[in-house]
Amino acid sequence: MNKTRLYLYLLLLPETALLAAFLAWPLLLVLWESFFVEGNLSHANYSSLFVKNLYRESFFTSLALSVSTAFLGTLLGLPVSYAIHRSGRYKSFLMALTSVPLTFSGLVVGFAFIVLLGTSGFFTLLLKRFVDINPLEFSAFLFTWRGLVVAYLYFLVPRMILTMTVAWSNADWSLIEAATSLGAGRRVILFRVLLPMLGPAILSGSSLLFAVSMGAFGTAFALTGTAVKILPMVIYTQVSDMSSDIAQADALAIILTVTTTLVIMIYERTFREKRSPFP
Amino acid sequence: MNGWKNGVELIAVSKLYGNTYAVRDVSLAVREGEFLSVVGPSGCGKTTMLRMISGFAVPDSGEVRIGGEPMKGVPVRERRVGIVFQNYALFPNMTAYENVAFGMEAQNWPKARIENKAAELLEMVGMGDRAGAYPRQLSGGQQQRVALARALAIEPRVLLLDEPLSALDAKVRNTLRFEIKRIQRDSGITTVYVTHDQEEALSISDRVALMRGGMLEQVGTPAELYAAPVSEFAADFIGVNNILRGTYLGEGRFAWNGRVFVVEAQRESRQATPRGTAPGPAAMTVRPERLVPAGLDLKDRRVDPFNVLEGKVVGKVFLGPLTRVALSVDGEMLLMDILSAAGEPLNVGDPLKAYFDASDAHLL
Repeated sequence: MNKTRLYLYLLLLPETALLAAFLAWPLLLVLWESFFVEGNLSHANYSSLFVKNLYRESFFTSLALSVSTAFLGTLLGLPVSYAIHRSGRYKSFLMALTSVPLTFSGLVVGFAFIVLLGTSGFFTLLLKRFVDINPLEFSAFLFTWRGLVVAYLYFLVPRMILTMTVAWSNADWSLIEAATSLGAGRRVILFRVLLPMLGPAILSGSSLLFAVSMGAFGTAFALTGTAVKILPMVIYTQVSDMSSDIAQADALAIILTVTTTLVIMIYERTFREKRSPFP
Repeated sequence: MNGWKNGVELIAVSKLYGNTYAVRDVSLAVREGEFLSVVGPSGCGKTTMLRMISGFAVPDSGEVRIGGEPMKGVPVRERRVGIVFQNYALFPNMTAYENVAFGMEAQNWPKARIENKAAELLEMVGMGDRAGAYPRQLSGGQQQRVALARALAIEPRVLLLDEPLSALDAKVRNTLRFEIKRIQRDSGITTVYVTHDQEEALSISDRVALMRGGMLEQVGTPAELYAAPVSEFAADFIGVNNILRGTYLGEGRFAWNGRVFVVEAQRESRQATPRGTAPGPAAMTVRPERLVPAGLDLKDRRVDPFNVLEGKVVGKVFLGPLTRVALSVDGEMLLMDILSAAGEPLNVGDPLKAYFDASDAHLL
């Protein structure tokens, strides 16, 4: 091993130690404990996902929430990212503005939505002045999983925008010009040139949104408490309640981690294979 | 309009970017089947000119015609121009074959015809055996071959090449240069070739258009540009040149650094530039290969005793068949190209006499 190499490994050491102590070790611990029921080795904590309605429902609510936010976030983020990419001298300002929501804690975002759209929220009362609405009925949706979709988009759309703005500026526009000169119309260019070119970035962005919203906790906690059963919330109740079941919480956490990792892995796979058909 | 069927005409075309002219009042006609190169330093407007022909840029004034038809309002995709880009611009998600077939598919050609034509074109550019390869599996030269086939597939009226070889290494560049020329000659397609490499332009073009600051400096055959540049810029940009600034005395006499040369300005038709005939401050150019070491080659020449320069060798570069010698004459440096095999080897510091024939001097 030469000297440069050695130095490189030394530079990696703090990060490796940190990851080992605070990611790998706890994860292994969680995995280990999740297989014990009252001191005996068992898969009951996992099979309970299929047995207990609460767990199954929370899993599917989380999936529905994450798929919806990933889909809507992508849809909303795409045009905005293109506009920012083309905004010339305002670009860096708009990029900075886009990053602001990412700096807020999830709890703050949750409370912000209560203040703005809650039963006595600013927009709710403003709307009440002009239209005959019942504030209670109007803001009820905010405290369901659909309301969470709206709130999550607040911090997910910026992630999509940031991912895509990079993709737009890395895009090879001469491909579009080549296609145009060859007589291709808008539709052909969209499906055969533009989407294949941006597809990987779009997929990467949306799988990021999916992963983030699978694990998000603060916003949901502020808005709905433990009323909307999503996976992170159920894990939380298992850990915090009087009738806590740490092993069960461990199993659910593993399920959450595996699902999220799987989605990202599947994305990586398809993306890689699309890119180089003959590796 | 015979002979113009697939020609390109630019009529007093100008293009402004902000407050500066990228192209200013350019008029140029490319005949059907002609290979015309547009050459010039970067920022001279050559690429903008090409983009106005293809339709990606719209002239602020003037007119572009292809095949005699005004192109105003005609979108790129209906102009039938084949474009070859500097960065190849092959679709990375498609094989070589699919790239070539793309344009024909977009234009809904019958399937059998697409297959035949794509195979035929790949064969023509020497890529017949790599039809299934993706761009990333091909070298730069191979990618550009595919790009050429793709551009020709739509049977364009005009082929436009924008610095197609500048991303390639010297050897590939040379091979591909002549491949492009061969394919162009065989297909007889009107071609506009943009490059910053004057040597490239001279070696493959029927005519060369030299641009400077958005305007045409000179248009002519490679031989004309080389032998009779119209300006110091042209003399300097095309090939290697010695430019001697002095005074034209009239009657074929040119004064430089206290010497007087015989330049025969009146006799040579190729020197019929306005400045060449009127006495006054002028510049004289003589190509390095036209400076001959006096004493080696003088026997069979009618030596004009005026046109001998005495100097000292201050540097030399071996170029293979030629050796380029830097000769210092009265503190000014002149370049001369001498056959490497000729005579005794020259060394730095040696005194050397250089001679040039009056007909090899060119007045500006």
